[in-house]
Amino acid sequence: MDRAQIVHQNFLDRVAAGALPPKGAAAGAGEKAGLAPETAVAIYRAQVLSRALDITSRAMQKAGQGFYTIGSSGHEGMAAVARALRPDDMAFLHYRDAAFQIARADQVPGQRIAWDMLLSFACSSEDPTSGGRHKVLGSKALMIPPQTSTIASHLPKAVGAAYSIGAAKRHAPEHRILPHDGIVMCSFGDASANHSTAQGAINTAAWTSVQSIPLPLLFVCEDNGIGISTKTPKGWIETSMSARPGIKYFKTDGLDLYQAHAVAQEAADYVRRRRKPAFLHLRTVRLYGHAGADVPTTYLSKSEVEADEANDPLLHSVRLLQEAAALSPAGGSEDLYRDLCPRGEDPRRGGDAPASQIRCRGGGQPDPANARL
Amino acid sequence: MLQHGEIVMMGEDVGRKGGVYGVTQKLHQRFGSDRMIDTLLDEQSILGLAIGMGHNGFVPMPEIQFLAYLHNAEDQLRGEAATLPFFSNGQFTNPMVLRIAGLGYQKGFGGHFHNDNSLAVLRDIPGIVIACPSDGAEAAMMLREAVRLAREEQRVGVFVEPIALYPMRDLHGEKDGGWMRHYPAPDQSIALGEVGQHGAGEDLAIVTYGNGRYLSAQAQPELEARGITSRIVDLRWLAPLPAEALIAATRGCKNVLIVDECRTTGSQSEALMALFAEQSDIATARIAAEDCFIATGPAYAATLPSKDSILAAALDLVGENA
Repeated sequence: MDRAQIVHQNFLDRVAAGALPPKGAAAGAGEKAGLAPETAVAIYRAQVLSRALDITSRAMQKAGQGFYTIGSSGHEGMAAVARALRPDDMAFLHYRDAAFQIARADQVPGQRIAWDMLLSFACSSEDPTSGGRHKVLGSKALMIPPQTSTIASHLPKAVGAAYSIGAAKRHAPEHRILPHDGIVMCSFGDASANHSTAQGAINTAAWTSVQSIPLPLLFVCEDNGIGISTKTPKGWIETSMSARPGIKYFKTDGLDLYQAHAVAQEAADYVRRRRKPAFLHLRTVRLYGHAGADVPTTYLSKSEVEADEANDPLLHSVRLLQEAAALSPAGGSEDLYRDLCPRGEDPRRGGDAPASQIRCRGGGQPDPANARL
Repeated sequence: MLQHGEIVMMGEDVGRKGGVYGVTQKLHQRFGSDRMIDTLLDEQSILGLAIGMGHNGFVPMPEIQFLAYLHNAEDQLRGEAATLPFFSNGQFTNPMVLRIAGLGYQKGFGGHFHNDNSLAVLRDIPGIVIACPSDGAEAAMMLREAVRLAREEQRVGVFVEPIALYPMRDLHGEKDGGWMRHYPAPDQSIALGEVGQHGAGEDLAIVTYGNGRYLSAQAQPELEARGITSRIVDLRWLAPLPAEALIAATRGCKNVLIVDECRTTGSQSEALMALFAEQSDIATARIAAEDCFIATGPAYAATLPSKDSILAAALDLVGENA
């Protein structure tokens, strides 16, 4: 069976049975208090929508209507990071950050993020990001410049954009778009952190910071422990990044939306107030393998794949929301999932907008039901 | 920089030192450290700084010290700067004028790295503008246009400055001052796609750029002495190739000789041969640098077109088609 289907079924079965994954380094009461229940639920909703879109993108590809299957599943903790930032903080995103973009869209009025992302999957000429040129995260309104981000080549410009905030304070260009108290965020995976381009950018940020030149930049490393099929050595990111001069290191668990939000907030506050770079190390898992055509069980043991699947961040979120009395599974988190993820059961059946019809509906105009997704 | 407060320059040594060849001298005193940014030794970071500042309304003019140093950072141009308007359907832009000191003919310093004579790595990037001036006055006027393109059209431009022409004063003999120029008035500029034409002879049009124009200008009187009337057509803008202007500037000529200081493989001469084959009936030939790296020391010009080789190629071509 397809891993996406397995993960989907796992979710339904385990929520129904109340067999939720145990807490890791669980969030303290303070962290939970820092996040209003409605915001926590909004984060969960963004996480589920991200998952639903992953499932849909695969269904669309099978139907010959979608052209990109690298998903964000396992990285849904980025929704909590988005909520720790302001929507006018420019974000150069990792390609697994659909949950970030969805959560940010919730912070900006007038967005129709699900529809926009579906247009992007379809490479529709109506895709508001690229006009159908590529399936890429990005949005002018959300201050997310689109780019490929596969080899960390977006990190040097994130350093440049962060530098420009201080420079614009002294000489504001007529067409300045970043606010003076803004920060810049860039995210990347644990594997691409090894790229010389990433290392160069991190080095440049440190070199700049130790000279007390303002550089409000938040690096976010989404550590799922593997780059396509090559594992990251245990503790590699932490040992190599935690003691860089001029860059403050923060570590958190992306499976725990409360903790991720609290630590991301702390890191963002540090960057915003001190105008210095920080490195946020976010633990994630990777579900479904690298991309649609990648079968992770060819290079990982079944038990390793299943261990990650058992740590599905959505299951953790269901537990955490229940513990925080923000949303109970029955009539709450489970229903929300069932509402958004019907296509996991059968992409051509169920739900009010089967993937195979998405492009046809309303002649390209978002159906209100879809726009709400 | 006086006119446009949003212009910032960045690179290794652009500030206090005034650039690798002194092009930005004294700008640091005039405009300060925040507009003349001395960076660390990392070309990806220099271009990243420029791209990032471009996102926030600045018009960056980064300097890369040599063409060879572009290569380790080229993805920042190819994969990032040039693609942003494409990926964002024009919603995001990162305009810049990237200055690179480059090309061959530099006596006494260099070799295969510092005098790299290939622009192939730039030529095929969709959307970028490549400029290569051939004298001081044109450099100033073309730079104004490159800045205008960055400011008004948000273009990514690459301005390749022939190192060997920086100190050039004489053309035919010592102290003749034949390559000295007056600084052009601030309102003068050379538009994108506008080629230069020197002479109006019809026996031969030499189509060239950069150092090739200088060498061809040296050869021109000797051609004249042999009864061959000629004109030099200076490309100035290597990309997008000014096809129409080139066809117009060579119309009525009996022969076209393409002189390209870059290596035969991957050089502009390939595109020019294709252009004249497809769009004109004029007899066309080319000389280009050999497919070999450049040596340090006395052999620095061994692989490159020279006044003599231009002359010989011109006589061959015109003789064949007399």
